[in-house]
Amino acid sequence: MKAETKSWLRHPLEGLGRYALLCMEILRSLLGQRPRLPDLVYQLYFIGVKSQSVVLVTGAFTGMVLCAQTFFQFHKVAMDTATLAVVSVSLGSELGPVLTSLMVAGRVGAAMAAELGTMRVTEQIDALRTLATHPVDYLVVPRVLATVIALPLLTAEAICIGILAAYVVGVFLLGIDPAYSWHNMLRYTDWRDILIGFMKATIFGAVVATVSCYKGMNCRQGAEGVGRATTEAMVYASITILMSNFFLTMFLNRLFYGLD
Amino acid sequence: MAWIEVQNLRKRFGAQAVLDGVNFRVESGEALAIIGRSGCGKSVLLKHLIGLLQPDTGSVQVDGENLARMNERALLQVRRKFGMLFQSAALFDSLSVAENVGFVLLRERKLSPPEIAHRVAEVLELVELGGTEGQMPAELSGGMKKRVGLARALIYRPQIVLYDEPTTGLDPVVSDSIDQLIARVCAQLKVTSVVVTHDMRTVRRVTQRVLLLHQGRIYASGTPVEFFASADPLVNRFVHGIADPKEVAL
Repeated sequence: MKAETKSWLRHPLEGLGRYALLCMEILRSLLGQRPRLPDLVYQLYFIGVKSQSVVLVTGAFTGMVLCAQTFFQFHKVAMDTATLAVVSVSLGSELGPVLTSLMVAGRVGAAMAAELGTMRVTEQIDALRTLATHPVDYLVVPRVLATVIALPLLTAEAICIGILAAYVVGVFLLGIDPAYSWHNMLRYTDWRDILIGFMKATIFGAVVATVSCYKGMNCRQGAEGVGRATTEAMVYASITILMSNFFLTMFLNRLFYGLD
Repeated sequence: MAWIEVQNLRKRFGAQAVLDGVNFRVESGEALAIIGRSGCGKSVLLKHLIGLLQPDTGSVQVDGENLARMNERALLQVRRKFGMLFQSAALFDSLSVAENVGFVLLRERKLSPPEIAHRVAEVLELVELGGTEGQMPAELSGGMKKRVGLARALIYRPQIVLYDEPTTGLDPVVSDSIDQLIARVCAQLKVTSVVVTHDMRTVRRVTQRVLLLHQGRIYASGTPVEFFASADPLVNRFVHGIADPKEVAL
């Protein structure tokens, strides 16, 4: 019983320790040497360009639903023209970065974990090490950098398409006055909301890439190990995004808007 | 002078002691075979020689440097002296044969692309795979993959080459060609070689000295001729491929 309790405690702590060591190695690599441009460009293409369809659909339908729901509630108190402002602030600081990151975690994070996991079980990562190449420099850093660069851009896309879709639904389907709606949206959306959104997206990008690479690099042997690493990468990255979002919301809002 | 010196090497995985006090030396220029039954820790021992695994206790000295005290980045410099052929060849499946073989040179960017292409063609000729530069690993047979793996290990002219089960999973004819290739590499390039295998034909044709790993320790040491003539029951059974009667009874 005692041994079971010990291992129940020890495994997560060991995992956290290994994750922290990986993050330190990534930082050391980033400070020590410039990543190769072709590796970075390829990852930017895979993570940024290839994720666009998923992100655009997510952004558009989130904007549309948010607009409809807000309108149905606001219409009761004759505040129809505030609908777009709510959509804009919600998408800009919360839903845009969170949903985009979750979609990228599902698409890219799982692929990263599967790719690195397969490389590990087929000894390709050991082969890299024998060829005097640090796996973090070659495999992890380009992925982390590309995700950190791509996620804020994808988030910006999702926010823009979400607001556009909300405008179309609000104006053409629900009959909200376009001029007042647009005016209120610009009036109540602060630049700080958008900045908070981009900061969150950058942090979530780092979370998705580091968690996925960690899971891939430490996966167990065999097909089951790779499958498990893939699932865990997605689940852990998603949970970390959702949990850290709360703390980031508290911290960044206090930072930019003060304590009142 | 010993190129590699292993002293009192111990390694456990959980409760299982895989290496339990291994001691041996590899002299410069020699071809050494490490033999032993499947799962006895041969590959684990080989991975310690190049720093892919760290010992629990004991030391591995390579050219006077203790690998056990080095971090991964320091080990990268030591590994430039090594080439390693993996059991599964471990080719990078997203890269072509030329990109696999020229991987180190392409990363270093010290040579121009035509010079790298020339070196790749040269080393592929050495392993008798000229003209396969554009092929992908998935298009190669098992024997071809091992040859490409060896070419990749040789391109930067290492001083020592480690072979992890070079003929496992290959038919006798291809195994024979790989044996000949290893012997030719040893003779032509004058590299120190450590071959982990349980194929006694490879041992006889390629190496000058043999170590038998048994229950985590070096059980016997000698030349291939001495091993084949050995009266020790364990050595004799292994060399001639005869099962232990006790195990058969089980």
